[in-house]
Amino acid sequence: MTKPNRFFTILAGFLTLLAISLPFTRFAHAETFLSPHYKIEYGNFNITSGKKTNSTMILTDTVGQNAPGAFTNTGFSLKSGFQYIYTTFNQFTFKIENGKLNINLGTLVPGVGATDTNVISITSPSGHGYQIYSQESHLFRNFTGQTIPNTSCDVGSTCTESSSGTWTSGTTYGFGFNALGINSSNTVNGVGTSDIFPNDTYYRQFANVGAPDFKNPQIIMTESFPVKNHRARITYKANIPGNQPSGNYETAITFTAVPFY
Amino acid sequence: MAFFDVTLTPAQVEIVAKPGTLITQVFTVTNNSDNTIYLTPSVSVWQPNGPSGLITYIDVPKNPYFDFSLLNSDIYLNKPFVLEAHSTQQVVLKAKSNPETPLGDAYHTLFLTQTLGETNDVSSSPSTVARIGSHFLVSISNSESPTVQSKVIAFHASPVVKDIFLTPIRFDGQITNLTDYFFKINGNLTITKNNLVIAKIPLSPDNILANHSRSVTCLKNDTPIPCVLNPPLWPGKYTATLSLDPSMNTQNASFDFFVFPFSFVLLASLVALLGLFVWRQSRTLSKTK
Repeated sequence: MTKPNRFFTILAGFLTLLAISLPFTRFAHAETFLSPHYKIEYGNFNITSGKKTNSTMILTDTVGQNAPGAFTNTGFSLKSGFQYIYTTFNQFTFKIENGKLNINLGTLVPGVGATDTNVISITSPSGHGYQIYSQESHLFRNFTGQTIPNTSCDVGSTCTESSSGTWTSGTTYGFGFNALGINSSNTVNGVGTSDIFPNDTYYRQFANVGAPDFKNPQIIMTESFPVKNHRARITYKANIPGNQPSGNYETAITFTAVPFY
Repeated sequence: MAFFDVTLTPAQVEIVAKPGTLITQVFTVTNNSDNTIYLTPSVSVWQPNGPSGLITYIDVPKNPYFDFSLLNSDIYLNKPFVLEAHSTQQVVLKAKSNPETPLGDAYHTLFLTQTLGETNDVSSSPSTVARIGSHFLVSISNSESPTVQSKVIAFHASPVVKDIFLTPIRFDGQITNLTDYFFKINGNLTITKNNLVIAKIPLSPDNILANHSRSVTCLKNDTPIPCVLNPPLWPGKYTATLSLDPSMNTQNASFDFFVFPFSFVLLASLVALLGLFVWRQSRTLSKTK
């Protein structure tokens, strides 16, 4: 009778300890990668890691990682631990803000310039600047294939896909765009764009990557230092002469954002 | 409300691998918008364009020694996939280098291009589309830490007239990578006067790509900034030195510059002239009386 009593006492003690420790249990999080042939799972069990600073020093640590450090294998270099993550584990965000992707210039009327705008926004990774390119897939055209050429800007102020010029005259025809850096209140500050578009009277052609031009995409906004939510307003403008059929014209504009290396 | 709002992580990957190695890298793409979007992954090769960190994809030939694909079972290169609003997707890039790959660097970008539907064609769309990229820097080497060599060029200070009060003195220079492997800048800009250190500013750990130059920038609170020395400064002879880590196999570069009390002398002259003028006026007045 003595042995079962001792067994149940030990079991009760064990269950009590288990019950007490359960609320303090933390669940491990692991990553899973799947392919038709492989399933790879791994977890990171470090207790704490991060970057601590005070006025005189900066400390980065990884505590509890199974195998922190830099390792090499045949043909490979593996860096394991927080110190090897934070320098490269950075986010890059690109946004077209104002709730639309379409360019709506309405039905173009000869001699009446039409404009529409988009707002783009960029957050670059820590330590890196960014560059944003633009391009058009083909010339601005209607469903019958008639095209509106890219603007050359006002007489005496020539613009191309890589140089800006003023476009204020009502008798200057074509399709072009302007990009101006703006702040969170939509006030123009020219940040990232002032070297390319000095003000809102300056326009450029979109680089036509299609026939017949086959041009290269061009930078429309860039900064060499890291930024957070830097924005630019893109203004699209089209004006057609009297002999140009009115109607709906279209093209596809692509904005490409990449960080500095 | 945004119709395209995408975050790509990491923004850059840097790997050293031996020829013939299979490399896999996970990129995480997040759709922060309220809309379902379609994205098409693709890989493009690039090269540096100038010393500021700009890159170009123009006229850069495809690297024949690398073969890219995705390890995902349901996502393929050059084919669109759907990403629901406020959701995240891992894109697992596989890069297979040929065993015959020449030693040296290869630079690529993983692009995610927005498409307006399940088709890959964006050219028939009367609209804008966005594209976001993350860089993939690979050094093909038989050593984990390839030996690098570099030199400092065009190290100088501006403006030409350096005054004790007027404007900050800006330091510019470039570091040229003389090898086939990229490396990070690791060093300091030190300003001394009479062998006393006035300022020691860490350089930003920017990458210098193979056989290219990179402008140096300084680091303040982990953020790259232009290298400047702010006034006020004592007049005299100063020495600026760009010292790099010995692993970069670079000779330190330094030059002397002088700070003069131009603004003080100008102000003192003006005050003296004014005093002289007042004194003469008072003498003239007293003679008239």
